[in-house]
Amino acid sequence: MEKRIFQLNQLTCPTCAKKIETVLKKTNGVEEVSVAFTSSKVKVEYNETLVKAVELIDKIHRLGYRVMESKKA
Amino acid sequence: MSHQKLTTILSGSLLILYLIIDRFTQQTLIGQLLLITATFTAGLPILWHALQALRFKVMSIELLVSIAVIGALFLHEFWEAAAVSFLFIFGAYLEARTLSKTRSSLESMIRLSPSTAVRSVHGISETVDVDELVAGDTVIVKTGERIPVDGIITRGIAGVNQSSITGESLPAEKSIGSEVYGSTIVENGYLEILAKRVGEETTYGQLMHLLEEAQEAKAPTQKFIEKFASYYTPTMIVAAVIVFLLTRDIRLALTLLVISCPGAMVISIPVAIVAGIGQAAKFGILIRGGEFLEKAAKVEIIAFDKTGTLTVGLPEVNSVVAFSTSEEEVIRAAAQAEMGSEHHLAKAILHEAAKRGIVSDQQTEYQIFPGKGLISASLNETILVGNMRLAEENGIMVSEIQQEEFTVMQGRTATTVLVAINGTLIGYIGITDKLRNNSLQSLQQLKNEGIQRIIVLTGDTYVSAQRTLSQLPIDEINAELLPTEKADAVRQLKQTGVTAMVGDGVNDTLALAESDLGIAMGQGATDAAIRTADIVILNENTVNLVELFRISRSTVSIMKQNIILSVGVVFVLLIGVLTKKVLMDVGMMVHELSVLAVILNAMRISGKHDIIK
Repeated sequence: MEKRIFQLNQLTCPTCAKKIETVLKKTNGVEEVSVAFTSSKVKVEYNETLVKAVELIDKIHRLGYRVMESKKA
Repeated sequence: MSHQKLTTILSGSLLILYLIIDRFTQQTLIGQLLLITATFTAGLPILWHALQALRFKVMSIELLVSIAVIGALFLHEFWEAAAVSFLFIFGAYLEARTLSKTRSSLESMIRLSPSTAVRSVHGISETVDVDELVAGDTVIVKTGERIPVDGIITRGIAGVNQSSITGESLPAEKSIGSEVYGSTIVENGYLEILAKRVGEETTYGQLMHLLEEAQEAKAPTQKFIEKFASYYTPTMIVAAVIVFLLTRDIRLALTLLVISCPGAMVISIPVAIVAGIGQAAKFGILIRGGEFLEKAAKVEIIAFDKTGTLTVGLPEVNSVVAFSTSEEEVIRAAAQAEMGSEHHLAKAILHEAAKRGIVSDQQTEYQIFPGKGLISASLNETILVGNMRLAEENGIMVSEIQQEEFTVMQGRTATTVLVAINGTLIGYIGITDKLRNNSLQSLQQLKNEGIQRIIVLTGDTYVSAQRTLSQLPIDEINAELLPTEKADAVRQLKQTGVTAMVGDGVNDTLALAESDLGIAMGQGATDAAIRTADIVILNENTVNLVELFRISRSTVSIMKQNIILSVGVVFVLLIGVLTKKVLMDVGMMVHELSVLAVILNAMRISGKHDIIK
């Protein structure tokens, strides 16, 4: 199990956070997602044999949000 | 310039241009073209976001706004289409800006850790990335630089500004052997430091970790409002569909969609909490999450562990009386007897002996009489150090004058110890634990702030505690408590009201855990306290306790204002829309304004409190 924190650029509408959370949660291999709206941070726990960090970052990108930093927690 | 900013400015300018043309000319076609261009400039990014989310089967607020805008275009309501799109992205832009301001106090703290450090290897110094440092490295820090690690000074002397850890900006004198903390600044001097903890292991690193976690921990109020919001949006969409089916009024249905984003509601609580936690952090107060901020506002009873919070925590000898011998002899005898004892009064006596340069290393055997004192015996002398009861029980003669002297001394100090050699009283030693400078002021302010009862829990005797604390507005002293009994006492207090426990985290962890709100205080206790307490005050200034309760109360009242504001706006809008007083553009504007209003309201928390001097 891998744990990562993505720092996004400032989220504005609180529903953005909800959106990112829903999309990541539906991803195969992702166990836990929490999006901190005020700090614009996404915490993900995932199974690295099923999904890679780059794929998660790509999903967030495709939703229209920039990942500024990605680090292991 | 960011993409978002560009589209906002562009569509905004187009709208203004339209207003000018509309006012002064009859060029309706040009006007309409301007509005359509503005709609596309601002609206396409919204639509794009909406479609992206839809691909993941997520219904987003952008989708609702897009439907409303497209609907308006079909109805040839070009002004409304343009205004709604522009206001939506303009609102988002303003929100991002104001939000980043609320967060800036926290972020400015995070930026305090230096990115490079000067490492010294065998006398040769090299600049390295802080991530490369390991425990055991020696780092060099000069005037104006930040210390990159937690460690011990091996060389040099400096004044260190420790405000990043303690909130106290008066520089602390540090020299060989002193402990220093990462993120603190060398104001003047030169230091070589042996690194003990690096990176996230440092006190500062742990603080930052805690602060980040704290922002995410949801307060109970927040959970409630999020639940409300999660029902609100779907309800509004269903309502829009029903309204359309019943009345065939597309405009009304679309307007309902526009106001269905619960933005202000969702943001109202977290934005206040982040501001509150950030403001507290400026005073060296660490709150583990919104939950504890809310709880702090409800506290009615504060229980203090006396030692280390209200008092300095290091008992000192403050007076010595000698009978037909020297003061030195009294101290020598007492120190001789107490050697090896761990009792805090013994420590005070031994410390005094060391201060006066009195050395006694003779081996003695001693017997302890708990709560009374001890008697030690060596080859040629038997020394008694203890209270009046121990003296009486051992048949030591106390003359009338000596008795009087004893009474006088008891009035001056917390604990008076009798010293006797071979059955003859030779003197008294008075020992006091000093009150902290701010204790009186702080406790009075706490009472003014509405704390109903202040209780002291202590392991000391009642008389001793009473004497030290006599000037303070304390309602009750609960003395001679063992650590477990302190926890029991807290449990009982909890039944009479919301109880906070303030301790230094050493002898009172059980009580801290038992209380409604555990507050650990003092630098010495940082490590143990960070794990158990709900709130950690990183310095020893009790004034910050007052600050904590002020911040928590104003945060909670701002949270309440924000809820009333955001829910109120939603209802007013709803009524306005249903009675057709509010159209799409006004609906969007009021909605965005309400989001901004709750953010700005929360920002007042940071402006409200100035450091009490």
